[in-house]
Amino acid sequence: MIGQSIQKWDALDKARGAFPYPSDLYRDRCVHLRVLRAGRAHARIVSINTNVARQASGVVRVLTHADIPGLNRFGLIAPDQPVLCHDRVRFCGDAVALVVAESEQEARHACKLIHVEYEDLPALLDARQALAPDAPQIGPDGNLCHEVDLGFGDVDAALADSAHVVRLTYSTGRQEHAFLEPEAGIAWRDEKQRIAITCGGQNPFADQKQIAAILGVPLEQVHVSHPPMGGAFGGKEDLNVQAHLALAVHATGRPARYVYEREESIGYSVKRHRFEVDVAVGCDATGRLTGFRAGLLADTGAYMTLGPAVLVLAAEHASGPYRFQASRIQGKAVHTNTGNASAFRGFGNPQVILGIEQAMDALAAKCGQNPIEFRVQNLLRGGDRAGAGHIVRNDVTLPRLIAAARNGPLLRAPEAETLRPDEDGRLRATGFAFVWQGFGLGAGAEPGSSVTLRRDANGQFWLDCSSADLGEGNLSAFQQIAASMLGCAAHDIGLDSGSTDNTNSWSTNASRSVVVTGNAVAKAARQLAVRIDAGENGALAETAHFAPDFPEKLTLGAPHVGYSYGIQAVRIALDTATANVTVEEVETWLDAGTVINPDGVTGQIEGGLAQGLGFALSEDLVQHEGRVLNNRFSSYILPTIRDVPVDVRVHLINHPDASNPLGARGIAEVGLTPAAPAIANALARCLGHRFEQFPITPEAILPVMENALS
Amino acid sequence: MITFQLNDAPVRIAHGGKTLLQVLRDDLHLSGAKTGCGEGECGACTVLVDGRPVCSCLVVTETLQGATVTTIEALAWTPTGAEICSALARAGGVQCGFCTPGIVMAWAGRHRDDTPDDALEGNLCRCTGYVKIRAALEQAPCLPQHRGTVSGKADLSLQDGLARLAQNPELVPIAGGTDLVVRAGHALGALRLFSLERLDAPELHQVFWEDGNLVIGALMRWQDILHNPVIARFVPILRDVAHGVGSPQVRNAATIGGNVATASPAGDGLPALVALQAHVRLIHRDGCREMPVAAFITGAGRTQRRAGELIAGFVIPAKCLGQPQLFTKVGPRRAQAISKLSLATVGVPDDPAGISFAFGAVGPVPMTCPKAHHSLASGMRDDAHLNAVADLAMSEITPIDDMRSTAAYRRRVAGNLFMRHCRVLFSRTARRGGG
Repeated sequence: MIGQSIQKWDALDKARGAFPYPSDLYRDRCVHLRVLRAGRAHARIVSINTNVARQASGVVRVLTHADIPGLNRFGLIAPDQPVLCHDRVRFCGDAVALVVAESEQEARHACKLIHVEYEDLPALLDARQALAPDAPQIGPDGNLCHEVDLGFGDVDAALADSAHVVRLTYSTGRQEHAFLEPEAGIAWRDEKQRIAITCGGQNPFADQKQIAAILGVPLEQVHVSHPPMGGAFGGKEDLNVQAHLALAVHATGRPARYVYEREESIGYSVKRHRFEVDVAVGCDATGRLTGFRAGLLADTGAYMTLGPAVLVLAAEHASGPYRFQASRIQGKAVHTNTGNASAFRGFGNPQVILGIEQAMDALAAKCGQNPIEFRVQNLLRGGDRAGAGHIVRNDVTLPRLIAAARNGPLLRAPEAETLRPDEDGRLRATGFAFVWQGFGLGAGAEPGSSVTLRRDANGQFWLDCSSADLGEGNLSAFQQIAASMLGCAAHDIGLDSGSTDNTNSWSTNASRSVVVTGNAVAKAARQLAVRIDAGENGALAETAHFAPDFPEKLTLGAPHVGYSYGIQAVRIALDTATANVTVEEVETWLDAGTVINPDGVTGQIEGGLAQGLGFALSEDLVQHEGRVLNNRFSSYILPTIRDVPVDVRVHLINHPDASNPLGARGIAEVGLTPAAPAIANALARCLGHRFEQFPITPEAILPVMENALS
Repeated sequence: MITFQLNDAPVRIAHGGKTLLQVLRDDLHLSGAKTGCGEGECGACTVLVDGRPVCSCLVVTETLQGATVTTIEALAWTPTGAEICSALARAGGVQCGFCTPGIVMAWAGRHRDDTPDDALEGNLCRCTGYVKIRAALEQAPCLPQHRGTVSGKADLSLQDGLARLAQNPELVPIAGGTDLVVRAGHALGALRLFSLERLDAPELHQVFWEDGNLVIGALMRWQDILHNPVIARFVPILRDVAHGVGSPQVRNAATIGGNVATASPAGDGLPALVALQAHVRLIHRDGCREMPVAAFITGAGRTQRRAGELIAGFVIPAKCLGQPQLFTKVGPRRAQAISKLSLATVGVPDDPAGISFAFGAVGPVPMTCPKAHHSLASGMRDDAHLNAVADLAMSEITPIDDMRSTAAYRRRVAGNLFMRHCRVLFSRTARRGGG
């Protein structure tokens, strides 16, 4: 059962169009919401006049900051983002007023009738200027949101004594999650007189806490439910529609519905943090790594969101799974008026891996060594100190993957650099990257998961947990785990999940579901099986909690209890007329630990890969004075089926992880992270050039290519 | 009152000004077609209209009179639909699943020759990376279901239709609507639309011969152009253009006439028709006129079409038929792309330069670069000569910086494409001349 691919419980209904998503939900007498956004990067609000809007056809209420009964702030780490702005707007997407109307059309129309007088303030649009003494002040305590300084040893001396040092400077794009279902939900006053909210989200309990504070009511008066939704990828961790829905119900007593339009979703939702990165990586004449230094500057935008956590994870991973003699990793997350950045699959690692994995190729070349050999001789082993300064407890399992990768066509024989196009006018090259990606929430941040397994009076099993299924199939994996222990079929485990009425299994993020919640499910199922085996009759329930054991803490959120490891290789073709890059072939080798559902695992790697291709080559916001210009799917360029190669192979070479009884590793992010450095390394083979900006666009490649070919 | 068949039952709706997706979801509570983008990019709202996949967010109800609409709610329970749904579910092709009903529809209504990559160009999936979807669909080879494509929509003679347009200058003629609906946005209800589907005028939908020239009806859809054997043989450049227009869903709605009427600088049909030296045929209650497409397009989004006038078709001169021809589109991705630039090149035997060409998206109108064209006529056609001509062309085009690309990139790549096209075409004509 565990280890066999199964069809997910909801797959067929979803395919048939019969599955109700948050954006499909309505209730009788529903009111509809539209939010008036600031539309400017930084300004003082002089006045808000809603008189005309309130009189408009179909308008039920127009709410502003004055209508918020409780705390007019929210945030997952610290409440610093206004629900409806009072005196200042700090990014274009800041919410200023909320129109509640009989129809969406009327709500939209009334938004235009609200008159807000602003006094524009100087906008801070470049993170590098954020800490200048004369910079506009965005955050409550200035523009420094968070700072990390990790490492060990004397890195200056280590780099100075190195035979070779590679220095790279680059920046990364503000990637949009682009879940196919935008932010959506409904809310109403339920039969227990609670404000009930059903919407896309990643942690009902985190939502409940923030909403209760905003409404100024006890937690018990707010119910939050996250049914399976149309994707999230980290982009639905922060509140989106929830607070505005709750306010509308609170103000009108009527059910409310709010679905973002795509322009609203791309234009104003949270994004992947843009990073500015400097790295210096050294080795001695034999190819042994010496010193690693990194400077990370993360643009977290107007509010804190999960910015500090992203920065910490980036710092923990920046030096890769390699052994150094000394290391220093300094990072700052700063506030700007460019938007609002938060969690996105990979969580800082896609930004930093570009430094270490490009540097490894470049150093290997300087040493005249094969880039695989070069990496292998420098891999961490269990008990070694990683660059961030923590001890990696368990062996880095990459050597097993390397043995397999060498049998694949892409990495069998290292190719010489070539500048001769093929007959079709394209330059072709292979590139690869090693990757490690921590799973679970890091040290000090991981509360663990609780679940309840019940057998009801009819003998039906029920899994009771608050986890949301974002589309990845975590609930199906839980069914498989429980079924394995209880000796039934996965589909025999009923699901009672996704809400604050369930046992608290905390968030669906950080590749933590199978590792943390999965182990709680296994534990509860074993307890239940013992009672069943003992012959207990009737209804039974067992609740279990699992939290990983952290032997050390570097800083809040680091290190992680374990890592998943992978190697990804890409074959690219570069058109010498257009500088367009086509990825023609991708092969990934992955240690996923104990695998519950193999199709689920490979599906995560393939899907992550496609997002990684976008991060590498096409996905970024185009902004003007803080406004997003490419706020549609016609201008924000996601990979289509033609942009993902037909030839994508994923090999699972699994070694159980010692951090948890199941031996599982979280793998939901590790497929995305290595794509960009693999492509960058392939491009460097074509052109002998390292690009300073990601995504790497044809516009940037063209002059470099023409120079290289002339 | 608009009447159409929905899942084998008649539906009547009182007012136009809505999209089919709004009617399905808001009025009829059929939520299998999803709202993902509202502009025909994601394909989550795909339904079959007269058997063909289209984005219901781009279909205005005015064009549905007499049509047959099938949604996932009905298709899923047909043998074909059940097979596709089951294959996707079994193979792990469903993650969040929000795109899946649209994918089922696109595959069920695909062209019979389509691979999964052909059929799903217009279906964005953010979860799966498409890998398992491809594999699943290859396991669901059920043949596409095609109903008769001509339905009982035509209720007006061409003469009556033209009279109505002439009398009511505020009427907006609409064909596929794929540009118009996106541009109208939420103001769709304010437009008075006149569906060209209502015209009983088969010649607007056909390719036909006329005095040795080929006439392409303005209401031919790009999907029909893509698969038309006469076009493939005599004007393959239009097939190549069609290949890059949107996606199957867009091509099943969008017409060549609409492409020209919209006159977007990035419209791919424009440079090809200009390079083909095509004439546009305009019809009006009071008469008919023709002019070169190059003259018809007067600026970005501007044409010489007068109030009450319709584009009837495009006349391709005999001399350009069956000649070597090439079209290259450079976009930000490999499908569903708005051109950063494009180049259409056609061999023309009586032309002093031997070819006719036009660039798209590097100026307000298709750019024919007269100086470069003239200079091409005199020279050895060796690399040095072609380089010099490409330089001239690069100086004549007027590309801009915008959110899709830069002027510098467009200019440079225009030169590169020009060289590539010349090399290919001149080697082909040389072979042809020698043989």
